[in-house]
Amino acid sequence: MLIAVWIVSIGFMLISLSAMAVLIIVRAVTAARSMRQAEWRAEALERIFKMLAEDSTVQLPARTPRGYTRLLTGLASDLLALLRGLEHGQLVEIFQAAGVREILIGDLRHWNARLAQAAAENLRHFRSPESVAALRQTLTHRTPEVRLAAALSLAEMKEAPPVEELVRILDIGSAEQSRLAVELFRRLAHREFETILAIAADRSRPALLRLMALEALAEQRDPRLVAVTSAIARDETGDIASQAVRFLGALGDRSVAPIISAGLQSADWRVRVQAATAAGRLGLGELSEQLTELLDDDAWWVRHRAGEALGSLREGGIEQLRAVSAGGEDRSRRAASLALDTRSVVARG
Amino acid sequence: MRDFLVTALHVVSIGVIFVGLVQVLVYLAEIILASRALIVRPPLGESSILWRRYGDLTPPVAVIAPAYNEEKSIVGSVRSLLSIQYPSLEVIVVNDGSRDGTLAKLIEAFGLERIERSFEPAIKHRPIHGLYASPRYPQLLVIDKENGRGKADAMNAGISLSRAPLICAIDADSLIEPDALMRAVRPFVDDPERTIAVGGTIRIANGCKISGGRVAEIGLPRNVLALTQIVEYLRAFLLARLAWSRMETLMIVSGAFGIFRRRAVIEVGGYDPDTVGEDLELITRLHRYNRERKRDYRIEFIPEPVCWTEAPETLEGLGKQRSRWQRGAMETLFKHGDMLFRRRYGRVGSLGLGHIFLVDLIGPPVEVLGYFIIPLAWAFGILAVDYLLAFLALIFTFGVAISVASLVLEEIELRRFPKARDLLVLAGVAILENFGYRQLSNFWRVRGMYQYFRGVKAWGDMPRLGLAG
Repeated sequence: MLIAVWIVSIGFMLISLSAMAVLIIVRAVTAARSMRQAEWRAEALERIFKMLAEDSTVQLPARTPRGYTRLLTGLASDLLALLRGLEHGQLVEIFQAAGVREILIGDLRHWNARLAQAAAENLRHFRSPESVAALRQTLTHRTPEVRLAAALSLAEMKEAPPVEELVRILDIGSAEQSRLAVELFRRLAHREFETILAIAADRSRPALLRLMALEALAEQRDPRLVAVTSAIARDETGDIASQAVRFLGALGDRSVAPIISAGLQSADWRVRVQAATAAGRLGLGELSEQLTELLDDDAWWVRHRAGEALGSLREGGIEQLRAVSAGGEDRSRRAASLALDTRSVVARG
Repeated sequence: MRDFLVTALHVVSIGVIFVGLVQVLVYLAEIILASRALIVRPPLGESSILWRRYGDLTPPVAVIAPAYNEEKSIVGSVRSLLSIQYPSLEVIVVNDGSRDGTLAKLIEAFGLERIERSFEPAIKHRPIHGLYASPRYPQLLVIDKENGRGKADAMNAGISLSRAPLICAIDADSLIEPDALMRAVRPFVDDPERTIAVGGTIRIANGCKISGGRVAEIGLPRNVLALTQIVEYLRAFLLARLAWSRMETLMIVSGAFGIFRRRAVIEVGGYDPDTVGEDLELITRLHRYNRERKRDYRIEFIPEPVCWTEAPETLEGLGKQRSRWQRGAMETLFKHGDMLFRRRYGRVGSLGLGHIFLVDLIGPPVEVLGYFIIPLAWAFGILAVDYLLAFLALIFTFGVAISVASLVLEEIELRRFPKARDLLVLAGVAILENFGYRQLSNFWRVRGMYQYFRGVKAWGDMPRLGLAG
């Protein structure tokens, strides 16, 4: 038994050392190739930049180095993300002529998920029926990150399946909790605003899914959002209610003042925090009394946001802060003073 | 009497070999788990892809850097922190009662003025003397506070003052790679509900070319101790942390680079200023708190985001550091000993703390005991040669195999060392470290245990050359 430990250890050590020796040799041998690849990339970049500067045509250098396909897709990924408009179109043509689209479609089935994900992200530049078909197939890839990347590319190409189908395939809000889903909803909002809004309003859906749908829509400042968001803020509790109140502040519609006022009285401090922030953003001077009361709230964040909100009100807020800082209760006096001090620093900045 | 001595030596030898064997089996399991974790880890991609993918979705982060007597390097360090590429970043430097000109240097270099700032008094810390900011650097806040005898108290002050939902703990004299935050924050975007802490890799910057507060070229140091620590860190991060993270029992997120959900840290009361292993203790407490409330949570390690740190190059400095780490492990183990092997704490109690119990508490003294007992007993003809061979196997041959295996993983999956010659040198170090350095390291750990039982609490100064200065 003890001798076996010795023998196994020798065997294991020899395996490790042999593997390391092979890797060192491989590294030494591939060093020259890496140098050739760097030279190829430099020459390709030079030709491309010359083409962009002179508005001429260009051919990429001949495919000499090994590892050419990775080099080509890497270059395409870097450059296509940087450029827009005509120049972007020119580059797409160059890389398409070099066969990048076919390489990327092949990469979608690569065993290495990193390559598959990069391919799914970069195929959005090469709009064609083949690209769309390959990306749609990738929506059922074994790796969630690759599935989501394919969905995002399809959405950007305006070729995504209906939102409800995507939610089902990707299991957004349940198995798929990534915030990248917010980005996906944003890209689909122009096409299926009502559907995403209905998802946000549907109480039978997972709370996370509803929050992500609401967040994606909130930036749109669409008046249709006000009613649904107000209903969520009024009827829900906890995190979903506080986020709804936050989005109400971002929508810029002062008619939501009663909902914000109710939020300022919520038993949940997270809702009070967001309601105070929203009151400040919307400039709801009529809520200044309530905000002043919150300067003495038990939760620090509520006191802080109430002070900030009062400071940002056009009329009456600063006067309220000054009055409280001069003679209020200890806690509220300090909150008011700090809000005034912070304002003066910001103003100087 | 001789019979008793022989029997006792046999029993002790079998005990030493058994403990060594269990440790080796744990390391072998780590190699398998870490390999699998590296192969199937979620795709991350280049920095440009990360920005496109996550740029609009990343939560704000407050980077908190405690500084104590760092006047030589603090300005360069802060410039380096301000250059981190991240969409919404706040840099909080905590001057922890420095006795030198750390604060004055900061005020002069960044045009700081004293300000008032309201903050949530969520965690206890030593009194704050003043807060400083500058309109020229709106994302920079400097906290000047009374010395709190360690990093924990300074971190607590930083956490109290921060307003971002995520906080990033780093050492002021470390260098974070520009895209490291973007990479490290991924779990908070991909799994925002459950993720409470994420750790990245710490690498040794000695020997690297530093320019503009960044590692411009990766190289190897000439100092043998620093070289050895490179292999040691690879083993610790690429094998151990990756493997334990894979099993959801990661027990430490390094204080030199870790990201936490601020609310989660506040819930457990922040860092414990009464321990010198505050990073290990905080993670253990986060596990305890969330397990006791049956919450579904994640504490994860990601190998790609890298923070560079300066390794001690003298025996004295390294010895002090290792003894302190040992004391920290002991403090955590004894403080949370009631979690050990308790069903309520699941695999955190059995595997996570069990690993610390085996590797940090039992392992070092048993190995040191073995160095004396087994060769001597064999030399006097009391022990058969197979005992000696088994002991040598556990210490040396398995040691070499495990160290080299971590290098193999690094080369296959990460390839951060630019030259084949670097790999050759490190492979040599991975072999040689088992003959001398390993023994020294165990001696320092046993000394740390002795210090723990004697109630030593001091951090001890570690002379640094400074990376970013």
